[in-house]
Amino acid sequence: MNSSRRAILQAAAIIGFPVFILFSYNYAPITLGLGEQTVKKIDPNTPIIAQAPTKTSFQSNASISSTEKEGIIADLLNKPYKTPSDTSQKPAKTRPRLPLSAEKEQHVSQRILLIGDSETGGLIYPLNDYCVMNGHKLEAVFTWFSASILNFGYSNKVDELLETYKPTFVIFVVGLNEMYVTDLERRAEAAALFRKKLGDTPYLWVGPANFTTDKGINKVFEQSADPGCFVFSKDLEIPRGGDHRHPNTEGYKIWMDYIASYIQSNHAYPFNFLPPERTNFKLQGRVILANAAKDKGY
Amino acid sequence: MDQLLQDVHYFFYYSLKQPWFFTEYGFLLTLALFLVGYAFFTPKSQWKLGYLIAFSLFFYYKSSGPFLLLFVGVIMCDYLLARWIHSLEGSKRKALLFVSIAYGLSFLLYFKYSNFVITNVNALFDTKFSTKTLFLPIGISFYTFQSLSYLIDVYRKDIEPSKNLLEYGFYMTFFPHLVAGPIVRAKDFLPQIKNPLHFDQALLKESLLRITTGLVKKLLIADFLGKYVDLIHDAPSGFSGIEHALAMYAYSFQIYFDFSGYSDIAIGIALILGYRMKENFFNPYTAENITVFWRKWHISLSLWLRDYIYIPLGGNRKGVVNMYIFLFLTMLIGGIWHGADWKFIFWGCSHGVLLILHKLFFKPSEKTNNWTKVLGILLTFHLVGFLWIFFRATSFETAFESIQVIFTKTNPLDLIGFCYTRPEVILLLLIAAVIVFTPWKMKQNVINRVLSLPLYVWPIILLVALQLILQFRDNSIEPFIYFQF
Repeated sequence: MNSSRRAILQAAAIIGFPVFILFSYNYAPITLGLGEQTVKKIDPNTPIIAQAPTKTSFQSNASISSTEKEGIIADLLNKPYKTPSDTSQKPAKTRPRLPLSAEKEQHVSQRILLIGDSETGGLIYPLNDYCVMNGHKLEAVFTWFSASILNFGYSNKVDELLETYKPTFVIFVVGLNEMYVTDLERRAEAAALFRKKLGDTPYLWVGPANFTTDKGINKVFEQSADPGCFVFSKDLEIPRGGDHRHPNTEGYKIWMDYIASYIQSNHAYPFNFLPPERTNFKLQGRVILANAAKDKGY
Repeated sequence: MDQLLQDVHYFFYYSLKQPWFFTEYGFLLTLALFLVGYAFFTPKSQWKLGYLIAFSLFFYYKSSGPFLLLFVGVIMCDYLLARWIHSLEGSKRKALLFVSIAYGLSFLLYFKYSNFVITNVNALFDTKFSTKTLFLPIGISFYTFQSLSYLIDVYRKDIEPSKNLLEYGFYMTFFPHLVAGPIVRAKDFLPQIKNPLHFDQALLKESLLRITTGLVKKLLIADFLGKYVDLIHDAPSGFSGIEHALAMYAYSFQIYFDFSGYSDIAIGIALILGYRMKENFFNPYTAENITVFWRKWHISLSLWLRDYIYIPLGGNRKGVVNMYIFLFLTMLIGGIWHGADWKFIFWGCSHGVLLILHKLFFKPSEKTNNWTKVLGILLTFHLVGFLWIFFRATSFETAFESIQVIFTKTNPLDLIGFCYTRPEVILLLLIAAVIVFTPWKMKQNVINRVLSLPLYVWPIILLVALQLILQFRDNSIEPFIYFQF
């Protein structure tokens, strides 16, 4: 065998061997770990983070087990927050409460759909606890990282989610990525389109938990929502995570209490949403993650 | 098992959503299998060419699907036209060259520029011509330029037309450069068919290093930075000046690592097959002025524009003023080549103006010390980076918005918050900066050390690199930026 031929065969072996190992691992029914990390597979047809939910991608998401999804969310929530040395944000000493008026509403079991930007990622577990304790079902959560109202208004994601999960109540949280936006007319148009998509489904539109003074996006959202279906969160004093923007774990709990109080007491279609006596229940619904930087949806 | 069968079935089909790239692990496995067959052909065998062409066409089919037919048609016509041009003399020869160029450019103009022209005509004359939904065949800009250079070289009698369709087909379809360059010249490449490189262990290590670094550059560095850049440019009004400024740096690094990573993989694979392609990048961000930058950035395109546009226009032979005009026109065409959008035209023109200014105010003989060199490098990098904003932005408006935010809303203290928020972006920017600004000699020392490693460690290096890429990537791989051109 001449030396060129031998070298080409060596090249084939050196390139082929590692890729063959990775493909073998891909099709093997085991998943290896390295410390706290999972050794990821090539998995060409099953995304690790789910694509934004189109009809077909909902089906492909089925191949991600619920345990894996919980793992993704748990990773997200358990990430240690760095405490900045100087911050003007101080945790609230008491959780903001609105007067409860559960007696005025008969108990109805709701099928809840939570959708929104990255803020929803932190609300999943507190909301799940509320749902379990109050006899509601958290059907699904759609967390669209880096999304704005434009994504929700101009894409058809919301229509598909409503069609798939048929919720009786939608909680929509958006706006943290729009603190500085000034193209309010365009946002208002998208907000109106979003509102139209909801149709007759009762909903609560939750304004962003501002980390700075916004340029009017809260006003746009409030104007776009029906009376009794929007709650401001901009003035909440809640502890933030290391990025100074998102609430931390405690902050999300406080925020969820605030949202729940509003639903029970002030919402146009109130229902029982009492604070849970126990927390950290197993996650009920399906969690779908997407990233607007990769898939803006329109 | 079902999954395996499904994947094998899927392997033979073209998917618009998942075209084949060098970065697909499936491609790497197929390449290894292909090489096993390739090793058994004798170096100058016509069967070897046929085998390579068949694989290259399959590669193009997996990347572009039905446009394979267009590509094959273009190759056959060019082959015949070149032979026809060669057989003529005088004005007929010239006329046929123009017809051939017009024909060669027609597909590129149709697929890439027709909607741009229609939109602008509508805006200018208030007409209502409808635009078409056109899918740009991958690599059309590259193979069109390649075929034009072949026809022009034959016309100029720099080369003899290929007498063998198989050889010409091989030159055009050679898969390492097929979809995103480097733009290879027939006069450099065709002789290698008759005299392929002797492939030995030194070349094997070099090719493995090129492939591995190319994959890491593209999949680990460029794609990761790209996610941050996408985030900022998707909603520019939602971010601070610091975030926009860092996005400018991130994109400057992203486009370099993306395209040079692709070129590295292409050169590495070509080496294994016994062919040497010319370098496409040579530490471009260490250029101390804009003229040097264009000698180090996308070298194959720069040389193409020089040899087939700038010099035929007149180059520096028709006076200083004309030279500047030719330079400007050449860069304008370079800008248009990148895309059918005013922002690319503006980008090309701006580079033309910078080149003219440099030639006006700086003499080549001027001696520089180390400090002026460093200042020159920083200034050139920032000018180039600034113009990349137009290249990356989704529109002119968002480009100007981004620039406005950088100049009016930048508070250096925001950097502290940014470090808390996105430490991984900061880390990657620093790593990228170290890599791009390291002098070539130091890089060469590191490369030599890596090349001295024994061959048996290379499967481990490649395995670790590929697994690291998997660990850090999310749901999708970004297509190479230059696939769209």
